[in-house]
Amino acid sequence: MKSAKRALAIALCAALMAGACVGCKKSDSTSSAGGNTGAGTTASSKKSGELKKFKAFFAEPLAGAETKEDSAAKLKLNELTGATSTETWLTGQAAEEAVGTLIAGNDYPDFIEGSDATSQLIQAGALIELDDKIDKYPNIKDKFTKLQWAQIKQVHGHIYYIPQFSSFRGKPNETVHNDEAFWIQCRVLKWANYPKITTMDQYFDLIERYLKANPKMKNGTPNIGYTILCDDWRYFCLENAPEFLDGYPNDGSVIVDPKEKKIIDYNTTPTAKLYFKKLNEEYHKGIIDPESFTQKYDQYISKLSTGRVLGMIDQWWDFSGSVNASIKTQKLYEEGCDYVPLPITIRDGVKNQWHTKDGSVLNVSSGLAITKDCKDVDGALQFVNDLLSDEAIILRNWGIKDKDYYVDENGLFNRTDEQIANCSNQDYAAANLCPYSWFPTVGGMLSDGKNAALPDRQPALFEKTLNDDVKEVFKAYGAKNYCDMLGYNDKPGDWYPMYTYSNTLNSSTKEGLAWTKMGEIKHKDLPKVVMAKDFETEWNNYMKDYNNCKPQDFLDAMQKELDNRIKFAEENK
Amino acid sequence: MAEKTLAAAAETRSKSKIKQSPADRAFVICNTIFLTLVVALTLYPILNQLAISFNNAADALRGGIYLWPRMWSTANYKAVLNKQNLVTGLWVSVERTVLGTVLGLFVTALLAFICSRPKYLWKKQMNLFWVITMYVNGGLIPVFLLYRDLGLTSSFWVYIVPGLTGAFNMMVIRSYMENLPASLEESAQLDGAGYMTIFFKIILPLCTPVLATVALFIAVAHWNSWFDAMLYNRMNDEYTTLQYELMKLLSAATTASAGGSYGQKQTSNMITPASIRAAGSILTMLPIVCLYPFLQRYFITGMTLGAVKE
Repeated sequence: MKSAKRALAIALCAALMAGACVGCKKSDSTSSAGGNTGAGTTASSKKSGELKKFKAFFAEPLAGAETKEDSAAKLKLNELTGATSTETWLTGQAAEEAVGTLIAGNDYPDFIEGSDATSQLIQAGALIELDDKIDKYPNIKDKFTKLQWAQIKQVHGHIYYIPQFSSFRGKPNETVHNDEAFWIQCRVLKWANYPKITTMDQYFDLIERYLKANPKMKNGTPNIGYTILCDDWRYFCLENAPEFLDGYPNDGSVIVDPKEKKIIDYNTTPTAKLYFKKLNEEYHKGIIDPESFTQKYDQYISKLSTGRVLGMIDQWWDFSGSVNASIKTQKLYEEGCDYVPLPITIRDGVKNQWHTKDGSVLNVSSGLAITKDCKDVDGALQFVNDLLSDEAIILRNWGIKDKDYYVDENGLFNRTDEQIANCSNQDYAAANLCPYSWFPTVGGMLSDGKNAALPDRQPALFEKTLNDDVKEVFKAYGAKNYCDMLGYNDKPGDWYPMYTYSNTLNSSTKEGLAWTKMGEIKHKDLPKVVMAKDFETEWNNYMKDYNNCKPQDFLDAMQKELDNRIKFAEENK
Repeated sequence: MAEKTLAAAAETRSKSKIKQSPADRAFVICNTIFLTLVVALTLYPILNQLAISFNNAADALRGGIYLWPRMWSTANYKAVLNKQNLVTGLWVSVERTVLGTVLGLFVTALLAFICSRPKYLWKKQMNLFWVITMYVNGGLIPVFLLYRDLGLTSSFWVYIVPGLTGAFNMMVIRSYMENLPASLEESAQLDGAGYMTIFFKIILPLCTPVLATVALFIAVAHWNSWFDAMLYNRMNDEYTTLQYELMKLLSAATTASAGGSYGQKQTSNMITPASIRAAGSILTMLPIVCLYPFLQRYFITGMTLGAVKE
């Protein structure tokens, strides 16, 4: 399930932030990690003399965009921190392969993000222990709470790396629901005069009615009611909805009952059966795209890009980048083809938890590490520390004042239309900006308490980037942004999310074998279940196959991990 | 006046035609249709990529672009040409292609010459030894360690030295040399020529066609190579190659298309993997396409015709 790990990484990368303090309650959202105690306001004093030059390698399948060495923002950052770093990304290889050759050559860059191969680097003795160094660098230290540092340390027995994301200052201020949801096109809601849609039955009913009344788009392309992406690791679009429909958050591989602290298998709940029965019905009514189970990811993206698909389940980071640009280019927003999320559950009265607040997820499995070949460890840590200062965060995320953004009379940062267009244009970005996107960063607010660390979290600016069809929907439902459409949820507990454990499983263990087999059976049987003429028989076949995988082995292991996590959090609070 | 001559010429042509049987005519028609299809099949993918590369990337996502761009745009080429280190990569690629081809061709031809001499004592064993290398290799990490210990990593020479000769190319040249009449060599020896003279003065000039073919193989391999640049010079930008830079760009585009940070990207000037791939393919194809016509005239066999009467 490395795939799921990648999914997590994409989610993290795209979100570029998260991470409230653990157990942070709404009322005290400015405790330790979120404290504006002047943290990050002090960049190290401008260093005169030699510019320190570092090299960084990120064994991440999610290559960041390259920044030119002479980009304006980079030069400013060099000046501010007295140091600079090149960035090299993984290209056409798996992390293990790339890191394998580095280990074989025994030759490392100064900084490395090991991704899936972090353990190998540690075994090879390539990474420096940072345990007693962190305290010397206030911005790094304040990035995480005591418990979070303990969790990071627990993985390998020492702190070898600094997770880049998952932390913010001030209060969470997300605007985009960067995760999974039932999405629907604005035109469908508009046509029905913005009804309240909260259950799966209402959702499909609305799509059915719309499709009946509007079989074609304005240009004559036939509409598709609902499509399902099933390509390889992106299988979540079909299989994990029952967990959300029952009103649980994204633990990924299982449901955790927050009261009893017990693991529940979402594949076998009554809701799961209801959900697949519904899909089966809709399939036979011709609402579900018959190509669902054979289409590849790029075909799916092309399909969404034409604006003909009314609804689907997907993760925002999985489709939004390409599809939104395409809808924009073709001016399809005039027809209302943009997607918005709906708070769908299985029945009325179940509270949805599609959206957990920013910072609910801390990825402790990898981060930015410093290698033994780094000649100047203190300089490197100082550089990371300085990159977390307010001035640096502004340069990294916003760019240069009056060139890439302006400050209005109230001291709020904003961008003109031209600046917005520039900053989202790859050519301009490469030549002028410098996000250092996989160096540690903090989200939330800047220490002035007024401005967001990330431009897309700035309400006025976010508003500017919305198309009219989405604005209308938000207005009709009294929402300011995508997250308001679903509501906000605190994370259920310190164990959240459980997928960080199931992602590490492989078939060498009993539980890993069960987990792998379960995935294979779902791939094989679920399409049959959805397409079956006789649903009951096919469902029973599926359940029989499923139980042959010994799911209990997997569930027991998850239960054990859950208990461990709860205990660990108690001890390290 | 001119029309008259034309008409006359046409008449003579039709008169002087050899009578074709219906079967002949049918063959000509079928053959023409078949070959036209082959040409179309070969050209279409290239024209299609050309169309996609000149089309707006976001628009291309919709599909349905075949031979002509729907929304004209040069943004894809701009994105490729603006890439950092592209010029460095281009120079290194040109250097390695030129140097690698010249040296590689010489070394391979020399080896083939040795292996093709009937009098050579270890001919059989030597040939077997080279065949083995085609089927067995050390594996990524052992090879990496070897190169490192030879001091090849983090240098330009890692592109040249290991690839100086390859078993397959050697055998292609060897077979050709074996087909040359033995009497050529014998007569040269009678005139007192040594092996080097025979190799340079007689064998090499006669091998032009095969050498041209192999030169093209080697050059294309060098030109398209990116994996070695990544493996051995990952952190050394001064030794990057063109294809490695394009590969990086492609990776970045793949990522960029997943996950946008804005609510809705304010840009229609985005790059997508498909469009970058198209623009990159077209750009890297150009030099090879330009080179090919000049090499083509060597792909003519029958150079040895009339050299010897047997």
